[in-house]
Amino acid sequence: MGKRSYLSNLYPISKLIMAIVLAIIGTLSEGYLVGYVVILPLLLFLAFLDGKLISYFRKMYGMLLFLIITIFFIKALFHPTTEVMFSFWIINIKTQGFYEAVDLIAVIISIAGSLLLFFETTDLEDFMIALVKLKMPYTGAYVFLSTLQIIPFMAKRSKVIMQAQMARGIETEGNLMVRVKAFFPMISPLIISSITEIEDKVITLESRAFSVGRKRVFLVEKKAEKIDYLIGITAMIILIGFIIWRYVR
Amino acid sequence: MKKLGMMTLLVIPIAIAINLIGRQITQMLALPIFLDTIGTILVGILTGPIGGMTTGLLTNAVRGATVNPVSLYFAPVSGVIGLIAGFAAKKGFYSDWKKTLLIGIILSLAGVLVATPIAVIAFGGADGSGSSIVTGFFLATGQGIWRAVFSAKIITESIDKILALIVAILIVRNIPESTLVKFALGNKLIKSRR
Repeated sequence: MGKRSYLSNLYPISKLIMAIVLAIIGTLSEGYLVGYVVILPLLLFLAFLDGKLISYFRKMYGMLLFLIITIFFIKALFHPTTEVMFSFWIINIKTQGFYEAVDLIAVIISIAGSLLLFFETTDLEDFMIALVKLKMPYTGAYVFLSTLQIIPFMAKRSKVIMQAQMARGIETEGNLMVRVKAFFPMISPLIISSITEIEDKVITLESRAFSVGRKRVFLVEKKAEKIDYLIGITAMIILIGFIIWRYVR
Repeated sequence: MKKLGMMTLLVIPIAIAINLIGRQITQMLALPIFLDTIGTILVGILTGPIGGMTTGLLTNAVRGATVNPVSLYFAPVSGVIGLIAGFAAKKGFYSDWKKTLLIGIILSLAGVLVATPIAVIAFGGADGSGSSIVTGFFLATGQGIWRAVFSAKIITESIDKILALIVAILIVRNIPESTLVKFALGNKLIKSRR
């Protein structure tokens, strides 16, 4: 772990608190300025510090592009008000709808953008261990992590099944009905073969005392250091300060 | 008893993977539906409401953590679908096709009832998919945003959910009895076979 990736080295829970605080501030602040001028640049800057700016930006782009297009489509074109900002051909952009869309996207960037940065810079295994230490049931963490392992394995197997079905001459191209019919012979062998294997896994896990209800230890675990506590507490103080400034004043 | 718990626990990761891969296969076959709730419904049928709900919620959590955090918003939708599929299995609703069809309709209705407020409040009625175009069409005919989103979703969702339910039931029928009996609702399913 180089010095460069310092956001990645933060304790997951402190980072999650930070992300949630950013999301709340972006959601509750008035107007869209905070979202575009403060939170979006801050997120990009943090990603840059971590050396992940390009991959973060790419993911954010993939996540938001269609959402933004459809939000503008629904809000700006079909808003029930009549005031028109500008129009060409048959397209009328409604003023109020346009501003509502801009507002909404600021909120989405704050919430989804912060969470995306959190997941982008956090090792999910560390995150799960941290949650287990906060009394989340270990079985939940196991299910989550084993899912991440199982997905590439099953994706590979689904390709093998597809090739086997093609070898016996299944039609995968043609009209809609043909393609719908091809779905079942592809997914059912995948599911049934995986389910019949579960029993072996149960025996394996039980032989390693999986169901024992005692406190667990971990071979590698991330420890929360002073700076992690400091960041978590600072984030919460900022949030409380923000809420007081926004609502009590 | 404990072993049954373990079977539930270990079928959930597989079901989540099925949900995600099901979607990949529909994309590969260029189908206009998602079929990303097959695993959720399957676990509901095999183990009951709690297992189904957990599968649904975790599917969106996994997708949110690895692909796209926006799917975290819609986690309650998958959760409710697993819950209902599980309750129906507990009450033995999958014994004949008429009741199964009824469950399919209830699943789609419940899915839409949960998804509509999320889509309207968080995304102004959009959800980044093709059904937004249908929503726009309903808005253009002068409907309010709530009704427009509901009408657009009910069309796509009911086809999707009923198909997913049928696939899940067909798969359960093909699971060997020796495996089936180890799941929480396995005995019930085997009895209904005879």
